[in-house]
Amino acid sequence: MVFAVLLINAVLLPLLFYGVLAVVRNAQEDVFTDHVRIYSRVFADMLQTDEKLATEAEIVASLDSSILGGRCVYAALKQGDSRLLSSLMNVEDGNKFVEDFQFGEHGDGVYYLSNPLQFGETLAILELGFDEQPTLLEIESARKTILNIVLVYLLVTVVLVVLLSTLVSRPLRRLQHDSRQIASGDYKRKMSVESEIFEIRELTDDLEYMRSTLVGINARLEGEIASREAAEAERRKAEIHLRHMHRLQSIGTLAGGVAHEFNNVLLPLLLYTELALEDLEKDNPVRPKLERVIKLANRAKGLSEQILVFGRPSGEDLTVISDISPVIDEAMSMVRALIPANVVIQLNIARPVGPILCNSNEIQQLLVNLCSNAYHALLKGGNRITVSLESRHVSKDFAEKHPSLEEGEHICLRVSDTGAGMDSATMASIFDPFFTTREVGEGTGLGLSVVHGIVVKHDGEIVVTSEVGVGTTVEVYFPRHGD
Amino acid sequence: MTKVIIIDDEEDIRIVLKEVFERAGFNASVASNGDDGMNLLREQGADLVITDVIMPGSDGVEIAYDIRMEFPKTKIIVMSGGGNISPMDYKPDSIKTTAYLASAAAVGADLTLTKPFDREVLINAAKELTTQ
Amino acid sequence: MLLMVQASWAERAVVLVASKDFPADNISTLDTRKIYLGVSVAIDGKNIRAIRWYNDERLNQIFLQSVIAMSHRSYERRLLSMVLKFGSPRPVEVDGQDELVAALAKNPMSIAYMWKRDAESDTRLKIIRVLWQEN
Repeated sequence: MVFAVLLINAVLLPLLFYGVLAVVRNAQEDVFTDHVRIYSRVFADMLQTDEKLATEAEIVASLDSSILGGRCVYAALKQGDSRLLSSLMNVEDGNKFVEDFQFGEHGDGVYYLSNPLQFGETLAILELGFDEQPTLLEIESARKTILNIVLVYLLVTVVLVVLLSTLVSRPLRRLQHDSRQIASGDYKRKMSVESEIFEIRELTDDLEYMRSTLVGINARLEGEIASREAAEAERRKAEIHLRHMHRLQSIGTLAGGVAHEFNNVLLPLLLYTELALEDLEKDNPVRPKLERVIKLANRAKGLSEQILVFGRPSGEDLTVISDISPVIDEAMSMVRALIPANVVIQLNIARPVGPILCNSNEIQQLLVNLCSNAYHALLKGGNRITVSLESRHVSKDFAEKHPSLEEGEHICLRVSDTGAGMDSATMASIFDPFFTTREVGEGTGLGLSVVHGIVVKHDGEIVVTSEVGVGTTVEVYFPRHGD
Repeated sequence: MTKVIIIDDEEDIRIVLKEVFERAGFNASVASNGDDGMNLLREQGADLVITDVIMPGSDGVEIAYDIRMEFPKTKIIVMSGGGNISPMDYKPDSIKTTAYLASAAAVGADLTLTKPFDREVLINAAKELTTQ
Repeated sequence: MLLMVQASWAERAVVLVASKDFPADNISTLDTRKIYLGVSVAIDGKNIRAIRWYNDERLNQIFLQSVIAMSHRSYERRLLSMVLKFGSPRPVEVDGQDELVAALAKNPMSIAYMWKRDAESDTRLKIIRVLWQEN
């Protein structure tokens, strides 16, 4: 802004200067010209009517008188080729007469003009010259004055402009800076600017009002987005849950169908083998092989029973058990028998815990499965399994996170190990049938999917948390019966 | 000799059960479906009928009922494959084996056995039922 | 009275002119001055009218210096007050020599100033007096 003002001044001020100077000069020259013309005319008229001017001396005298008064520096009377000069002049100046019609013409510093006279019978020309110097000096002095004025004006302008720009630019720059800050994300920053200038204060207030309104709108929009996203997440979770249920159901149906066929095959398999055994003598070397076959067939039978859990329809085999802790005790004694002694099993069984609508066999199967998994995790490191049973209240938040649970009283069965833990990729697949991290031959991987099936049948929820290197905790929630 | 009729749609099961029973000293006949089984029963008579509970065409519950009605003295064992049956093969609505077995029992089956079962279990049960 | 003889000199000169029908052959310098300063001067009861033109600045300055004896601005100011003072009309203003000659012809009682050589070359004009002559 400062530059603009200075630029404009740089263009206008010279114009102003020369303009004013021209005006002054014209005025001065005009006055001068006026004066010299009138004077010479008057003088000429006077000479013409003066009867006393007969002799040369008298003429010279009157020429002298014009030089004496005013700015006249040259006075002569020309008759034909001869020139009568005033005695107050230098003789050599007599040849300098060059008639002017404009101030400063011929550059000789003198304005010469002539007036024809009737001098007696003869024609003469009165020649006068007037000093232009004083006028030139006046003009020069005016020029200096104007220049000074212009320079002072320029100086004052610069100072004022700098002041003004500070008054205006500084707060404006501040506003600009604040705007940029806000635009780059700092929405909470208030816009405030100190200024004496009313317009700037008004502007600041308006901008601040706009900002806070936008922040409000923004916050609201963010809120809406957040709640929409939350709703979306909820919906997705419910969808996943449902899909999982469907999968389980179809697997169940499939498994059931498979199991049925399976059993139809197993029966003759088993029976035929038994018959074959009967046909053989006691020491026949084939006997052990056939006995092995029977063992395997029984193992297959066990498998098919596991599969059948999927197909097991809900409800008919559930009973109300007022205290589940003895069931857990029984299961844990089985577990203890199966797991080597170097593994510490810590029990935190509260009693009584219940009532619970359940199938106690399946609960035991579930617990054994979980402990089996825990044991296998310990094979890679760690040595402690903790099993706890307690009543627990499920909060609204918790229930919202786990769609199968309602808010209220629940029974919580927890199995945790200090084993290898699982990463999130593994965790995502644990309930898939046949998914296993075990070595070949160590298990089918049906365990957790069976567990899940049991949990679903009991209207419960299973929550798994795990950290690689720390361990895994599996919590199973069952709703308390009668609530 | 104690007569037993085996009703099952699986040939392998018919053959092996027949052998098992014969080795145990029973007189065993087989039928592959309920109607044949009923005819056989009418022709020959039997002390024991053992039938699969779910078969295409006729089902064990009906058979058990029919036998009980017509031959009140004949003992009935029903066998189950366990689990749900693929709805494609049998009845369209979901069939619950336990319910089936329950209803088989309700209409007078004396015993339900879940396949696969041991030879010993079968023979002991058969003998027990037929010596009363 | 300036001699007509001087009018025929070849040097630069400014002359007072009128149309050929102008009733006089001479007007004094004083009368010229009067006419151009708005004072009525008549011949046979008819007022002589003045014509002015500005196309030639030099001519204008010579005229002002020789006849009017004032600066241009003073004379212009004077022309304005002429109407109030003397009740006489301003000199007619023309643009260009052709218009000047036409105006002179239109009103034979009018006078104007011109370079001598221009006046001599136009037969419709009559030179009344030499106003200025180069020395």
